[in-house]
Amino acid sequence: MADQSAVSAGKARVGSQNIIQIADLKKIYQLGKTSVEALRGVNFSVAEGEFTVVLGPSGSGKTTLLNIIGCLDRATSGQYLLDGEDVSNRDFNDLAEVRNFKIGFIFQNFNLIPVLNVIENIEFPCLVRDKREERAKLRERVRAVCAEVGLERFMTHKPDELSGGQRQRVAIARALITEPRLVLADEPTANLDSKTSDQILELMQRLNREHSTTFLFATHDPRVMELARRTVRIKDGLVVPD
Amino acid sequence: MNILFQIAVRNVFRNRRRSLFTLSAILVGLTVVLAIAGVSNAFYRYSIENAVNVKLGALQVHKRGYLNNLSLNPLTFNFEYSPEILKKVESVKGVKAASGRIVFRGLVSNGRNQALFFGNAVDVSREDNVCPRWRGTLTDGSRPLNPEDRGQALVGQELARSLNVAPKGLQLPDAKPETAGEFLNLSGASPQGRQNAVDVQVVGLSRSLLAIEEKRSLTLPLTVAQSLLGLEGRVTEIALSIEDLDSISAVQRRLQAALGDEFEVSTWSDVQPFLRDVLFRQRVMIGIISLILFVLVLFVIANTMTMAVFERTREIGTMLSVGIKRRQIQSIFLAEAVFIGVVGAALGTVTGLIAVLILNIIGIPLASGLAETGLLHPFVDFGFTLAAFAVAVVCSSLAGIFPARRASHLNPVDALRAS
Repeated sequence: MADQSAVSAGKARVGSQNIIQIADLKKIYQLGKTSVEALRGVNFSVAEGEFTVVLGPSGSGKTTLLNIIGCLDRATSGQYLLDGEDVSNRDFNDLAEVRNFKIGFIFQNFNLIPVLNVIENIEFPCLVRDKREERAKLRERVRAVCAEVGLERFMTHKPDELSGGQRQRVAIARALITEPRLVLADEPTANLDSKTSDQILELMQRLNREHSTTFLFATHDPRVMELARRTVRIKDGLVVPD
Repeated sequence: MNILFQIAVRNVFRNRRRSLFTLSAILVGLTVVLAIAGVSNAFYRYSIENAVNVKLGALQVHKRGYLNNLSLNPLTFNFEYSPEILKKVESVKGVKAASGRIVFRGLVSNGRNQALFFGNAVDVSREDNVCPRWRGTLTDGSRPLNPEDRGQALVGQELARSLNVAPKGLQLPDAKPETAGEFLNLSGASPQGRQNAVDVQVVGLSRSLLAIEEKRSLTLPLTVAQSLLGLEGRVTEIALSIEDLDSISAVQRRLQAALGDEFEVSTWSDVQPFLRDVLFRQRVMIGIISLILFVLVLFVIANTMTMAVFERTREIGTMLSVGIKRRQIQSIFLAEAVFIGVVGAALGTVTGLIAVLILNIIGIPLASGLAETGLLHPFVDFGFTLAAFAVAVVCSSLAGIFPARRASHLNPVDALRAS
């Protein structure tokens, strides 16, 4: 069990509560007979409302860390508290529930469902819940989110009828519709031109400001780093102190 | 509509060419199954009707023990052929008509050669009502037996050829004219073993689906056989036609109850187990062919679904990342397989029924030419059509299970990384 001092070793504090608290997190991959230690005891925390960038070269363990934070993967050992809840040892369906209710994802390749239109893509996370909210109310919220991200005119369009920037806006709207505690963005501007990247970043910054949504980025984009209020560097499976 | 089902259906339309290929496989499979079943049904009905209307009658009444003693001396199981017994059997509900017969064996001679024959002595005045097509098996140039005939007979085509006999005015293709005749001498024995002989005039040649029957069969008026065998006023069986062949079992039960234990009532399949077995085997073959076709369809759908899972791995990863559960992923791919199955099976049923209808209207020519029209008219019943549809849908669902499970067990990280 990780001790509390390690858990609270994070630096910046925006809100009063830590959304992410990670202590002594290890991830070991078995490649044939060889064990590869991708994370070697990571300690770090992210407070509510933070706009944080995780930096690190390829093979540093950055993606592994984000996968574990996103509840897509599980650590070999250590503790991970998400919004105060220990999610280290949850089973697959429990983690699916955690992802659905607490985490929004924004991917480099947008990852929209091609057969669904903009509205359906955005409302999808809410429609796969066991207890669904009333469809009319949900549609109302979807419209509001669409308006917020500037997609009002494209609500019935399919992803392949949209530009890269518009697709990323749909992904942002889908990430926000569940009102998550944390939004994970993996290279969100990598496939966008600079003008669209600026617009997308501005949008995310505004959402962070207005809704106090916590954003955690993995990126190499210097513009994102400039905007970040905090940078966490990963090297050789460990968080490097600033 | 549920969003997962919507995704499933839209994905079917997304890859149109592959979906069309899969649908075609189900469609062709089901069409072939229905067409084969239609032809098989027509042949089954034709064979039964042929047996029932040409020779056997739907039901037969014998003295109890007759069928178990066919190889010993069946003539001892004779009974009185009285108007009372005819009235009794004809008054049973479902019975249309009855006619007495003596079935026996004997030797036939043309004065030079001798051969074994199987005699079928019929009540000529009544036989038409029981076996309406018994005259239809005669060759051109033959004449049927008339109620007035006292010493006439119909001889199997091959038997006539071997004995070099033919009706007057009819020339057998390879007969020697100098030795050809139209009279035969029949000898037989009474139930007590008393030998007797009688001359008959050949007035017609009969054909049969079975070669053995053409080589051995001899049909003659009941009265001739009665005097030959010392069975005046008696018969060994009464053949019956019934209103509806589908209710044969019920009529059999009623008849048995009316006649009591002294008699046994048999259906055409009891007295012709060979025919029953042939038809049964034919049905089994149709079943096996259908099964093979359905298994092929199953593999085609399984292949399509496996391809779909491979192609949509990253989409599955996306859905997993937003919190979809394993069973929900499974249900998307299962729904897709079932949707393809239902649409394919529905289309296949329609095209299959159209194919059967066309075959029914056109008719399939019969090589033997023994049927009234010489054509088979394929048909399928509602029960079989529904069962074929259901099996196609079930096969599609089964085909979807493995790919659906595979999709639902993908690791989200690996799935998102897929190209």
